Amino acid sequence: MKQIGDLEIDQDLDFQKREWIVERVSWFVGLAIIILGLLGLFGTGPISSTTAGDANGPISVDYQRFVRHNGEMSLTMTVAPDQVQDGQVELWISATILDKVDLQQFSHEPDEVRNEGDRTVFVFLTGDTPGQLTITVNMRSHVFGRIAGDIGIVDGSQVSISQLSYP
Amino acid sequence: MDAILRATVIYLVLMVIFRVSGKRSLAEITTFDLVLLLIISEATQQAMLGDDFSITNAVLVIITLFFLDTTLATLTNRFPRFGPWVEDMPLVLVEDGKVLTQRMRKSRISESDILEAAREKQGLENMEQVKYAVLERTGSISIIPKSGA
Repeated sequence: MKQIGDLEIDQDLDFQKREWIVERVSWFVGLAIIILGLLGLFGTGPISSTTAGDANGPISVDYQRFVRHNGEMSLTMTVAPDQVQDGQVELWISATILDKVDLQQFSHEPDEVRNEGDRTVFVFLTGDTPGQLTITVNMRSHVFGRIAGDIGIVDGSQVSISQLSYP
Repeated sequence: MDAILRATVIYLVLMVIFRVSGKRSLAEITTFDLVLLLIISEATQQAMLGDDFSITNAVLVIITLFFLDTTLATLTNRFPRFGPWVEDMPLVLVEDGKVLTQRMRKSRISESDILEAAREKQGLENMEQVKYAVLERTGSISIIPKSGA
């Protein structure tokens, strides 16, 4: 044990200096994490939101690049008016996506769902209402890591999405 | 498996965060600090338990936390070099009546903190009567009065 004046104490100034440096560095790390969090690196935010496909094209999908395990996320599919045939739209989502998420809710419930091998087709009846069809799906990731796959219109265009799911 | 990994990650993350936020972070618990601790535990709880509210899960988490804690205590005891990184070291703030302002500033301790400790613990009236003030590993300030004070 060291002696400082009359005190028998375990003080170590070199260690203390290193500790202050670590504290200072950690403060900046914390600040960086908060800023990146606000920007959306760990979930929703400007750098996380993205669109697959052309907004004026046949189909586009708005989604978040960064999602979290067990966290709620949403994916919005927009289909151009000219893709509606006989009052219905048939959209498909590849199994590589659906295997990794739990579907929670559709903003517009599909009227029919069928499995087609490595993809699932959702049929939406649009009725006579013209205009573009927008469908939001809420889902939860139940994996860690990458979620990637395609979303498309049956016998039509498709777009690819890729997400990173944090633990 | 899940429960043990969750508990381990949370334990380590909390330890690092509390460790790097300095000795004084939550040492003297004010009312607000208490609320803060409650919020932290609330935020932690979900991540640690997941959506499994079974007794098995809770027991696994608790055993993991206790195991980590005792293992760490044993390690710090066995390896003195490792100890300070986990448990910190004391720091002398007033040495033989001399106030070490630079150390105090870096530890975010003001003279009034030292005077407060001196009043509370030793019934001292002013800095003159303080021989040693030590910022302990726990974040509390110990005061040793000058003889005759």
